[in-house]
Amino acid sequence: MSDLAHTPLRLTALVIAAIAIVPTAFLILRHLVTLRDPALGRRAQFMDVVWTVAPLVAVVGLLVASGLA
Amino acid sequence: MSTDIVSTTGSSTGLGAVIGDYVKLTKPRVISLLLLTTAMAMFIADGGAPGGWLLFWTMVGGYLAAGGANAINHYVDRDIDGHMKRTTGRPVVAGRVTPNRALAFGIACGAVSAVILGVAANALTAAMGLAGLVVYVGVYTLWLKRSTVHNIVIGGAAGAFPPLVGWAAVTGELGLYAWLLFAVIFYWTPPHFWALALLLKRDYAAAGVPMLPVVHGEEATRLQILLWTVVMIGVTALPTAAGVAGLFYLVSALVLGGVFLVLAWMLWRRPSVGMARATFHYSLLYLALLFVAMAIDAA
Repeated sequence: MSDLAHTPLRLTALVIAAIAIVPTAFLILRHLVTLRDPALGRRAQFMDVVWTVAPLVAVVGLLVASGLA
Repeated sequence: MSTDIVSTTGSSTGLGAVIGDYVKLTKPRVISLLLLTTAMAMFIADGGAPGGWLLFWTMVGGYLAAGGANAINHYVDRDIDGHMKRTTGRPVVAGRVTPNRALAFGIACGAVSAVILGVAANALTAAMGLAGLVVYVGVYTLWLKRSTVHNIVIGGAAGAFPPLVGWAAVTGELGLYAWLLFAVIFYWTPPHFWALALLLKRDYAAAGVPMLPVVHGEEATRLQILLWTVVMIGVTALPTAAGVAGLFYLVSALVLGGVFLVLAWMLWRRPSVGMARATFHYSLLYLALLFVAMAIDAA
């Protein structure tokens, strides 16, 4: 693997990925928050937050890992 | 137990019919796409064609691991499958295979898959095959499917194991590229499955499965499909960003993803059954072509 800063193709792909992932993850989060069901119990609400946030945190982590590779 | 007694009355007759029912328990149509991602991962990991026997036995082991998971799913979901038009004809619900036999068959398939993958490839490959089975049965089917609208987002991880199986079979380890292949399928699953859920909303509602369109409605689902499609396209750019895939793959991913995005946009703006169906069917073609593009790029 070549250095990111000296590889225009890698840098381009990373920018495309970041533009697609970061703002959209925020929009997904914002939309899912509006869908929260207040009738759920506390534990179910907590798990709902976990299931909502975990894949979005993971994808940002993958973005960083790919940039650092 | 009582289910077994009832089921016996509708048992399959004739060897062909019995074999056909056991094959149906494995959901062969669903597995075909999983096996394609396994095979393509092997080509990518190898940088060309992997050994013929290794490819063959990994396909057999991969089929049995996924098929075993599906058979156990038939056992677990036998109480709700009868409420869904799509699944009323399944062998267990229809009484042609007893629940206990379906369960035993599923466990046996999983065990045989572990032996085949372990002997033909390595222990890591066997572990990945079993991990996919455990996540599908334990995390998706037993835990999340009936308890949260996020069922297919988290449970989608089960369908993302096949490329790990293929990668591990060739290299004996799991590097960044392997996990990026996992991620591609993981983030492809929500728009793919929610498009199907739009088509089967009544079935899921009748069965009491809290799929997103059942719980939050079709408009919210269509917006989530659009947003997750954008994230998925971003994820498909990561192999090139990480320096493990090249320009051909990146262009292919963006073109294929662009078509997916157009369909998701149209589904959001002009909703119809036809658009949901088109989005679902394209998602299948999309994943297959994306993995083929990766394999070509790696050759």
